[in-house]
Parts: sequence; C-alpha cells; structure tokens
Amino acid sequence: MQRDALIGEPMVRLTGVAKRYGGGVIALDTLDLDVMKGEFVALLGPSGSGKTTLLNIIAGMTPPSRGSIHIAGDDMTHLPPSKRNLGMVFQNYALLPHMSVYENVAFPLRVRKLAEKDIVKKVEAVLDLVQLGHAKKRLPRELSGGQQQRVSLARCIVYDPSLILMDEPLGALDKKLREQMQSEIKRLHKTLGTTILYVTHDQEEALSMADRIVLFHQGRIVQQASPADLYFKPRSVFAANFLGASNILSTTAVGDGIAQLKSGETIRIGSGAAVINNEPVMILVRPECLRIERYDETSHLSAANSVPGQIVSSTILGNVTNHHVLIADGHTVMAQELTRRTAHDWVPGEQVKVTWAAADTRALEPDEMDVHS
Amino acid sequence: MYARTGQQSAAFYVLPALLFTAVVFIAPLASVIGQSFWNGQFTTHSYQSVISSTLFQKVFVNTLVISFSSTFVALLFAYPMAYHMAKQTPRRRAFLMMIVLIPFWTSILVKSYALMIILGRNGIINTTIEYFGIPALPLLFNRFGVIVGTIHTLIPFMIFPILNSLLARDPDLGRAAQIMGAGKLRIFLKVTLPLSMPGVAASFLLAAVHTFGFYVTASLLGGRGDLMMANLVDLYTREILDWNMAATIAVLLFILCAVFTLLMGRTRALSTLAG
Repeated sequence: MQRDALIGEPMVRLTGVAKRYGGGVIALDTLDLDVMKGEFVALLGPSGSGKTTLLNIIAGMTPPSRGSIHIAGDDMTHLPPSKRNLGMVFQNYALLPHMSVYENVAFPLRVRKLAEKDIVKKVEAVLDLVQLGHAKKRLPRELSGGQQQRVSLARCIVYDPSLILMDEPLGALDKKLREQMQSEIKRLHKTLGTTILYVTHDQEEALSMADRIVLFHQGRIVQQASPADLYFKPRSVFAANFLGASNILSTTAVGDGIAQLKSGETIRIGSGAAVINNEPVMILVRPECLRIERYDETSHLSAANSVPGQIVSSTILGNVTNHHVLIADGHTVMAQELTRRTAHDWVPGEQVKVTWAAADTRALEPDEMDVHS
Repeated sequence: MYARTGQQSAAFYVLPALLFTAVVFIAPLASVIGQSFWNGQFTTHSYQSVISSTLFQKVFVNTLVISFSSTFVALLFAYPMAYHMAKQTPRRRAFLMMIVLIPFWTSILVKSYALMIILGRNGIINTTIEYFGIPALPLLFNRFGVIVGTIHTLIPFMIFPILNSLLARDPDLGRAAQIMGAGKLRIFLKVTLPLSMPGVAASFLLAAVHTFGFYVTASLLGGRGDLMMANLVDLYTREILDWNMAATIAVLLFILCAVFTLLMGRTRALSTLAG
C-alpha cells in the first residue's frame, strides 16, 4: 500500500522503527507502518518474528533503537506508556485480582480523575455493552476466562483510547470460546469504530478478523494485504506456507509464464513473481484448486496444467476430503475437495492425473535466507 | 486433597522426623507442662501467682512492646528491600539474597557483641558524635539497644515472605495499569501494595512470634528493665530455683506463640485464596 495514497491522517505512523539488542541481535528490522483510524490490523507471524516487539514499542514498554512513533498525529516516541492514551488487552487478561469487575473498569477513569457520577454512567454502559452488567460486584477469579477477557475489553473501551493493542488476547481460551470472542471483538470494533492492532500467531484468527494483515518473519514485514489478497496472492514461499495449506512445486522457468517440472511437464503460471529463463522458480497451488482425474480422461479445464501421479491416500475430514497424490517429479501434493457421497472412491496406488487452472498457479519469490547472519 | 495411598506414603516419609520431634520436643514440652502443674502435688497455684505477679505483668507487656515495635520498624526496612530485590534480574537477586542471608547465618551472640561495639559508650557512633562536640547518647543497655538488636535479626526473616508475594505478582498487572495511564505512585498504592499484603501479614506474624522467645538480645543489649519472658524463665530456673514457676511462664510463652502461629496459618490460607 502506498503511504501517500491513503486518505486522511493515519492513527498510527511508524517511521524507520528498528530494535536491536546487544550482541547484534535484530529483533525488528527497520520498518514503516501506517494504521488508519478505525482500521483493524492483525500483526501475524510465528513466535520470535518481531510482532510482539513492535507492539511493545508502540505501547512504550520497549524503546525503539531507531525511528519514530506518531499516534493521532503526536510524536510519542519518547513518552512513557501512561502518557500515550492507549488501551491494551493481554493474553492473561491482567485484571486487578483484588478489585471487583466494576472497580477494574473504573480504574482508568479514576486515573483520569472523572467525576464519580460520570464514572458510574460510563462503567455501567460498557459493562452492558459486553453483557456483564450483572457481574459488576464479582471478583475476576469468580468469572470464566471468556468473561474475564470481556471485562478486560470493557476496561479498554471505557476510556476511549486512540488505539487498542491486543496481544494474543484469545490465546488462553478454548476453541469454541475463542470463536465466540472473535465475533464479540469484531462486533465491538464495528459499533465503536476503534482502531485495533491485534497480535496473533493464529492465521485463521487473522484472516477472519482483520481488515489488513501484516505478516512478520524474522523481524521484518514480509507482506501486508487484505486477508483475501494475502491468501490468493502471497508473495513469498514463507507467506504461502504460513497462510492456509499449500502445495509448493519446485520448477525451472522455460519461458514467459511457463515453467517445467523436473519430470518434464510444462506448467503455465497465472500470476506472481517475474520469472527468469532457466532459473529455478517455486510455484504455489492451493489444495482446493487441484482436481484429480482418471489418467485417461480428457480434462474439463481449458488451459489446464496437468501432471500424472498415483494416489497415496484419501482421508475424509468431515465436509472436506484430502487426497495425497505422488506426482511425476517425486513430490507428494494434496488435493482437497468437498466430501460427496457420489464422489469416486480413489484407491491408493491408482494412476491418476492432477489438473488445475493456470489462473490458480502462482510464482513465488524465494525466501531471503537469514539476512542477519 | 491427597489420595489414600498418598497419605500412607506421606506417613512413611514423615515418620523419622516425627520420632525425632517426639523425643526432643514433645516429650520435654510435656514434662514442662507437667512441671507447671506440680509442686510436690498437683496444683494450679503457680498460674495464679504468675498472672497476679506485677513482675510477670511488666515482663509480658515488655515482651509484646519490644516484639511488635521491632517487628513494625523491621517491616519498614524489609519492605523496600524486598521491593528492590523483586525488580532485579534473577541473577542479581540471588546475589542480593546472599547478602541478606549472611547476617541471618551469623550467630546471634556474635551479632550482639558486634552491636555492643557499635552502640557502646566508647562505641563507633558515640566516639564519632563526641568528636563533633555532641554529647554521647545512651544507645546500649536500654530498650533502644534491644530493639536495634531485634530489628537486625528480624529483617532477613521479613524480607523473604514479602519478596515471595511480590514475585508471585503477574508482571502484566503493572504494565496494564501503566498503559491505562496510572503513574508510579498510584501503581504502587493501588496495585503492588494491596497485592503484597498477604506477604506482609505473614512476615509480620512470623517475625513477631520469632521475637516472643528472644533471650540473648535482651540480656546482652538491654538494661535491667528490659527483661523479656525468656529472661524471666531463666531467672526462675537459675537464680530463684523455682522450676514450678519457670515452667508456668514457659507454658504461657508457648501459648502466646501458638496463638500467633495459628493466626499465621489463617493469613496463609487467605493469601492462597487471594492468589
């Protein structure tokens, strides 16, 4: 995204931010990032990729080695966390255990020296908003994990901070509760129009919640895009592997938009990185784009790529079925299709061909090898 | 709680210590209790005379005053030290703990003589202030000396329970309060201090109980008016040779300690609830 193409002033503007520790360890390589007002941005990446470091730099917990942080137009680079008017939701809720739900939510308002009657009004309003109006006299330990996290959300939104930071907020909850809280957070984001920076290592969470995903790897931003763009147009092997399931084929470029497998089959490339003749190129095909056909069948797809192979296994996972196929070049690919009662029963060892559309074929940039060493 | 088999094996592990305690603690205690009721025949007379004795009343009050005032002042020293230690890296904290533990491991006799050198009429403090023309202060063989000696012994005892409760805190609580806009003082008063209160209560009671039985400090650093209960037991045992009375005072001292130990159990239970 072009910085200048954005409309209006960003809520957060990071310029040239970097974090190095002693001994030349680079936690975060120089990066720029803008977050627009009301935007929900997920910082996604494996642990140690720098996303939490960045969150701590924005919060003011960790001073950056270089660069500046502007929030709502003001330079916050050298301000302590207490002066940045931010909200933060922690994985372990960080509720004050000796205070009631009401007092926890009132805490930031007392810090801001609001009149008692305004505090009562605001606290009750946000507790109703997170459906915990009945629990205001309880202590945090008397609530379930999901309820505690809702208190923690209420405690953030009650003082209307410029930006809410969320550090793996649902990591301690079980799957079902997590999904419930995901929609709760999305609902609050929609109703209140808050700007949210959400750190997670869970790709599904990032895909389902965020307006924009910023993907981190080894202290760098490797790609930032909307969930759909990141899924369909990953730029690198890392991005393709990190989001969703993927088949990655090693090929050699043999012409413009054409590559060749080691076993000789040519493959048309629909999109992605520019390829150079006779250079190796990595190709992505998502499992749901692959079709398995009988070896002798004529393909239904025009302009299709087609590679012969042999069924290794078929596994029904519920509404989808995964087929593993050993293709001619010696790699095993996965094809995924909706489970249907009438589907052909592929037998392990059966000769087949795997076909897919050129449009679903994407050339990837190779990952930069560890740039720090 | 534990499964039945767990309890059986617990009994097995505890048995040696139990036997040892029975021989060196429970048996002598029983003998002391017996002696407090025995003066040629069974009698409760000694209890009446101890409780109505003005000497005992004075010493009992002395003991409580010395114990609680020393414990309170020691707490004022111990809390900031524990707070500082809690903020250090584990490595540095281990080093600081060593420093705290050195006086803890030093014999109370050695510490008392060292304090005599510092506090005495010709001690370091008095020679220094006299050099500047200030008249010497009575620092030794009085209540002040006893309290200084007691505080010195208590500080290590008090640091550790407080340090534990400070370390058990979730570090995100302070960060959360900071992000919500709270300043350092507010975070200390509203978050850190209340959450460390179970540790403070435990360390206060632990130290107070510990001082009830102090003997050496009072006899070496105190004056004639600073007898504590243990010194009174000694007086009846070795000077007056009335073992019936000595045993009675010892039993009363034991009851005092037992009551506070039970209180301490209560605060432990409370602190686990709070956690």
